[in-house]
Amino acid sequence: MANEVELRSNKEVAPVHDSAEAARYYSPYTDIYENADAVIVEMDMPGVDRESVDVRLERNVLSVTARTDSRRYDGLEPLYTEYSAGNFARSFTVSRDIDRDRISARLTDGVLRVELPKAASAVARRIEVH
Amino acid sequence: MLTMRDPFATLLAVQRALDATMRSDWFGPWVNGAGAYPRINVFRRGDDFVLTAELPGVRKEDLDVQVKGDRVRIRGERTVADAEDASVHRRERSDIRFDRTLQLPAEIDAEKVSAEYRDGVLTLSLPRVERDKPRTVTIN
Repeated sequence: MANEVELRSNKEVAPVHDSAEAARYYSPYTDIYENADAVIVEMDMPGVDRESVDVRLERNVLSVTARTDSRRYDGLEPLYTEYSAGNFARSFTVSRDIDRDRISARLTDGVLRVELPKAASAVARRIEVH
Repeated sequence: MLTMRDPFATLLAVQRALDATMRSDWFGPWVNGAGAYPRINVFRRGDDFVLTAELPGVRKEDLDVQVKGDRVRIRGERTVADAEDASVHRRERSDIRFDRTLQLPAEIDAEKVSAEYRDGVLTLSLPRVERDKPRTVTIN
């Protein structure tokens, strides 16, 4: 049988700070991997407003928040729902020295890709094994 | 590396199986086709329906939507970036190939369906066929 996908719901998280909105925050599914030059973070955030995406790196903690616009549901009466659209928020500790000036983020088809280039001084030294 | 199994996995599996039964054709005209990917929401807008689906990472060219009668079929795939030459710290996303059919409570006018796919969300506007629209009955 082809690819059986396990359905999981996004985990709900408490918002970082209290806001006037009642909307919920969910934790987006995330992949993190590292190549020679950078740490790459990819997060599934379908339907978020580009302007609301906030990516910040403070003291080795990468925080990402993004919001969806609930007004797109105006005039629609729910009949059958399997998911709850809401905002996204997640943080990660980045254990590497990052060149902050060259961090880039790109949102494509609801996937946010953040590239955190490693600072030159942080490239790992290879230990010779004798 | 320590791998932890979710202690509620078995319970959730049982609940999902029960949910699947509750949503089977047995229980009358409703939206049928639960328990698959992608997750969808169906709304009513007047007499017509609006369907939304979350499809993060699916490109428009990899998405196929068909409408026939009272059924909507959504097909496609998405791949995650190939992490070759990279060391994986965390992997929660996966490649997905999906093909899901949903049955709606009324027949759809396929000629008048419109679809928009943006930022990983598919929105289908599904008008009901004229003859399937409810008629108001005047009471004498």
